Amino acid sequence: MDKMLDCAVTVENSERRIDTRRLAVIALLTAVSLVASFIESLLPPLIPIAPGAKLGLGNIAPLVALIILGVGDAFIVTILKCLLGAFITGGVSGLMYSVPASIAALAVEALLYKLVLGKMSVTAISLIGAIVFNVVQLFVACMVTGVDLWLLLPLLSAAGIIAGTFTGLLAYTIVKKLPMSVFGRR
Amino acid sequence: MNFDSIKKVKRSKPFTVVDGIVIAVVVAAIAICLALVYTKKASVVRITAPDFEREYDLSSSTVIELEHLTVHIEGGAVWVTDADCPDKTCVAVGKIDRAGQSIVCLPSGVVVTILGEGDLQAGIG
Repeated sequence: MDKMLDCAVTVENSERRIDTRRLAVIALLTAVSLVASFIESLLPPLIPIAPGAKLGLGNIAPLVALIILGVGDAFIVTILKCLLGAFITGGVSGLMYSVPASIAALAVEALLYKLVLGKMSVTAISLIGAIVFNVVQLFVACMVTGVDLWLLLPLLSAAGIIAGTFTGLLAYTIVKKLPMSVFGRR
Repeated sequence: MNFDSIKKVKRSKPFTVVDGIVIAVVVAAIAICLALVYTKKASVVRITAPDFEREYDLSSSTVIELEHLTVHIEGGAVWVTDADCPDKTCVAVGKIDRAGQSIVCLPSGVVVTILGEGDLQAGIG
């Protein structure tokens, strides 16, 4: 009787146990992403005529999370990054642009990743994600300002292609070059 | 950890043929859009704010003082000064002088756009 009870308790415990490694990796990726975004914000703008155009180094983290953890955890990293990033910089109004755009971009990336990885590279998936990000961001901006801003889309997308390719290639290189032992398997 | 997924990425290539096609299509689409927008002759400046919308001749010399910022039109170029927003992105953009270019100040909801001749008819109609 005692033994049975013991067994039941053990099963319950193991079900409730949080996967510590997963938790640590989510926290690590979020932290790295925030630091990368912060350092990037201190640098002068890449293109003087478009001060808003950034490389988006922080966007590497959700992509890496998508690859090494999965879709759900990638969404967790993305949302944490947006929320904490807004609190750090104080730009809470930016949340209404960053949250929908990030989620839409990640959703498209996750779908492409599941369906066409191999035929298409991580680099191109990231590039498409960056363009989706721009489109959604601009859509929200049009809604908020009530002004037609679509003339900006070609230039934004051109910047998005460069940024998306860069971050995608970096995420790919990180996963490619890290040995399997880092991920917990020899 | 999703080991299958990690291995799949490790086996994949940094660029593929399909990537090339995707990039070519996107770049072509952007180039066409840019060509359509920027080949138009710049002629009119449209300024829109939450409670304000007016068009000005690009060749005129005017200073328009709005609630949150000041727009200058002079010598065929437009620029913004004295913005009271925290980021000053609109001021940092500097002078714009071609059709399709715009200065957007999201905090105050002000948009300054240069329109080409074709856009003007569409805008009035």
